[in-house]
Amino acid sequence: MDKSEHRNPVVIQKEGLSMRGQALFRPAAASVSNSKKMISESKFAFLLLLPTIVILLGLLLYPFLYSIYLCFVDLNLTKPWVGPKFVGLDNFSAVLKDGEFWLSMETTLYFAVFSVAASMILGLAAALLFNIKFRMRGLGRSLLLIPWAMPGVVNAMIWQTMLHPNYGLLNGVLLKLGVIDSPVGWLSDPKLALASIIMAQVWTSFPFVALMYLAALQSISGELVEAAKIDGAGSIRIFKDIIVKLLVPVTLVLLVLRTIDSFRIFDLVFAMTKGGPANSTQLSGLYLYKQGFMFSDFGLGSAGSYILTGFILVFVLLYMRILRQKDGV
Amino acid sequence: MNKSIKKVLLFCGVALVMIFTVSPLVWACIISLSPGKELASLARHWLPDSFTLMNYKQVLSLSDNAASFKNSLLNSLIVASVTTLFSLIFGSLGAYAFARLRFRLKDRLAVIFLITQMVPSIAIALPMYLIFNRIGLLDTKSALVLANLSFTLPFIIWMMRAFFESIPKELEESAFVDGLGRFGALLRIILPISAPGLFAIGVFAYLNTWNEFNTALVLTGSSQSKTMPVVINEFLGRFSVDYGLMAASGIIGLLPPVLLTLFFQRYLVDGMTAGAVKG
Repeated sequence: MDKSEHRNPVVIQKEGLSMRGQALFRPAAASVSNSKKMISESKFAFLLLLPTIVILLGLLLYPFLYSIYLCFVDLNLTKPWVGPKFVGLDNFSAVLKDGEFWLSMETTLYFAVFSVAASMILGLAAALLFNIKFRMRGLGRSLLLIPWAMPGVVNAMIWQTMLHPNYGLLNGVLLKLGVIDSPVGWLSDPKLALASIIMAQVWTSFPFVALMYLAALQSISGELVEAAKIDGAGSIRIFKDIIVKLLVPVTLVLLVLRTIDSFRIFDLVFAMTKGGPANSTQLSGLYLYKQGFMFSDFGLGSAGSYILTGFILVFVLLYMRILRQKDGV
Repeated sequence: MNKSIKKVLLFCGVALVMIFTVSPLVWACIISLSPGKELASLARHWLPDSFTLMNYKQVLSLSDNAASFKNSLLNSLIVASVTTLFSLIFGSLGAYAFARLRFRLKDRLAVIFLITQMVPSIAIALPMYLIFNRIGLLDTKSALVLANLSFTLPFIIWMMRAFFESIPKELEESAFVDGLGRFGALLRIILPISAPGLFAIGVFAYLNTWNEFNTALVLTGSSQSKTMPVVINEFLGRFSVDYGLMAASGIIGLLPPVLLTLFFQRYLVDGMTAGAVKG
């Protein structure tokens, strides 16, 4: 958006026609006299946004402020007669001192790093493959969308059927191939449970990455590649200098989206393992849910969720910085 | 020679991706169609000796009060449809304002909308629970519609904005020349030609709401408002012995989103990529 235009407060009134800024630069519209009096842009914008603003004020801003207030009080719903008690920063220090919180953050970090990396790599690979023309490509792309459209809970259920020690397809295949000689309890072994959840997460998230990359690849004009070929660039040069460069912006957008998502993940773990075995899959979302709704400690849950939001923001700002730098070059 | 090697490599790559994508779905389907007795040996044989629809019948006829699956499907259907309808109406109006009009605080509002997508839903779910509890809306479908509206609206505005920006400005200008006011131009010219974008984004809203779990888990308590994901999650604990029932409920639960995506595939991919790739 053009900033200088944006701030222009000039309102021209001409023969009952009132229009802002835009009319200055577009004489075509302004020159024709219009019998209807047109409402100003800002008034119209306000009208259009009114329902949204009301809903967001009531249902996001108010809860948002309320949850900030909750960070500083001790509110136990199981003892309503006590009422909220102001405790200052106690909730924050309680969360920060809680070893279980830090364990959940560590687990979340592992989860985020591996699931984001794997879905990006697999997604890019799938996009490069599906960018080549072959028969049934359309069908393949449609099938890719299915895991993406799935509710997290159903995803959890499907992977439970895949990973079950006795009924699961994964063990069935591995046993038949002779890779393992006795069934593996993917979700009951603390060492494997997190990896299993990452696999389920990658399954449902890589299609989105693939489709975004595909769209970006298709926006690369064939002429550019042809021109490079005529200039004598080999296919490796073309890939490095043209394709990779043009994919950088999408990559950063995807990194931001995927990172936010993987830090906020809840339904998949909640349905699949409930954090077990032995807290090995207790991601921060689950930890916060437990504090808030199972132990009825709303203050601790709120304080913790803002600490988590802080971590997410740090990552997003970091990516944004890299994005700006790349833009500057 | 070189060409055929490339072809084989391409085939292998695509096959691997497809196996990874499809096999969990096929497996869940097979389990849901297998008689209970065969489950134990299924992993070794991959296909049951006979198929049965028993699991589906049983899961749909479950009528216990805490979690009737049929009820939860109906709840999900109502909540997702109503949310989609309202978020499309309000969201497209708001998005138009962001795409075309100049007003104070515009950039700031846009950033605020984006930030709302970053807060973990649990941070909002805690106070929402307290608020809905106080005004007596806890455990109602209306509460879910309202909560979901607040999640989907910023998202829709963000996506629809990119779409409106891709429509040439001249269209409105000639509408103004023809004597249409701002509302008239929006309703009669812009919205009709935005139908594909509205469809795509409506499907997004529908999927988001149909799949939404966190808030539904917190805000619902009985079968009058529990949605499908909440009930399926309960099945995961209760029926962990009966994989057939579990798989059948999962397959039913994923049908609406899957059919919607397949049906609106083209629009969806365009809508999904419009904001991110062009930006």
